[in-house]
Amino acid sequence: MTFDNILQAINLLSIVKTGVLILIGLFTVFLFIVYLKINALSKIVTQDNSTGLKIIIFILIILSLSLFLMALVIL
Amino acid sequence: MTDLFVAPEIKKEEAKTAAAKTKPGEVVAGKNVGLFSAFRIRPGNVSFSEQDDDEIIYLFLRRHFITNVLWVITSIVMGIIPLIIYLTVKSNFLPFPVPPGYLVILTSFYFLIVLTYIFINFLNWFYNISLVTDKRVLDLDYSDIVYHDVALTKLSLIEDVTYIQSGFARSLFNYGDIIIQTAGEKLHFDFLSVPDPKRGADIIENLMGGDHDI
Repeated sequence: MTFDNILQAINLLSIVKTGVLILIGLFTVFLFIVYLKINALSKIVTQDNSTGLKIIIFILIILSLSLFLMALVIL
Repeated sequence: MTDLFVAPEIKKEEAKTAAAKTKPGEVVAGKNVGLFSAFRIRPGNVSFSEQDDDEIIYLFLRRHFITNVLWVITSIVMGIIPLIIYLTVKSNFLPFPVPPGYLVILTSFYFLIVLTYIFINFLNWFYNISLVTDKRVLDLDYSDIVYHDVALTKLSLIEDVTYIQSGFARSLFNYGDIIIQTAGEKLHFDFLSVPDPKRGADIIENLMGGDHDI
């Protein structure tokens, strides 16, 4: 394996890593938008169950953030 | 002369207690709307932002839950796919080795996407609501996360109420569309795939006629 090949491999890996991090980051932002939407809709029509939905989306956001941090550490 | 028909006598006490329970015109709140409820008369735990103090919600409608079957099956398949790949395909099917860190992160991310897919589809069903009160009709349409449309019209502006129930699944599970034609800016309100459309249409017609005894 030549030095150029190694450099190429390193670059490719860093590109993949950055891509994965951006993807998970964007996904977290998307989940936050969903949370805001639930908030807005709950104000239009109030239902008791919407609190449960807010908790679920909150859990999903936390999971996504944890995954982002995990990816940052592991990759 | 013998009597052909004798009406059964109603006990006075029973009649008194029944009268004491409900006064004429009084509205008793029905059952609360559950997480999977699609049809509820006089829901106890629902209100909307523009509701007047003396306004009573008589009918709460959502799409029949059976209409969710497509995305439920898709979600199950999406959830099973990684397991099938793991069991059937050899671990070294890729031409290059995948670091275990990437495998963990990407698998977790995949399942997070599946969970979000389920959640968003559920939200699409949950927030597509139609309400009928003693004063007006409200139709909340929600789709594609960023889009929602709230339409309101007074009962006095409603011209015609019809329902359509065609197809095998609709007949089997008793759901269909209620179409309300109005004289307002929005020409018709469509309550799509709601359970028991005949009863729903009857209730709306009764409310239009001022009959609140549903």
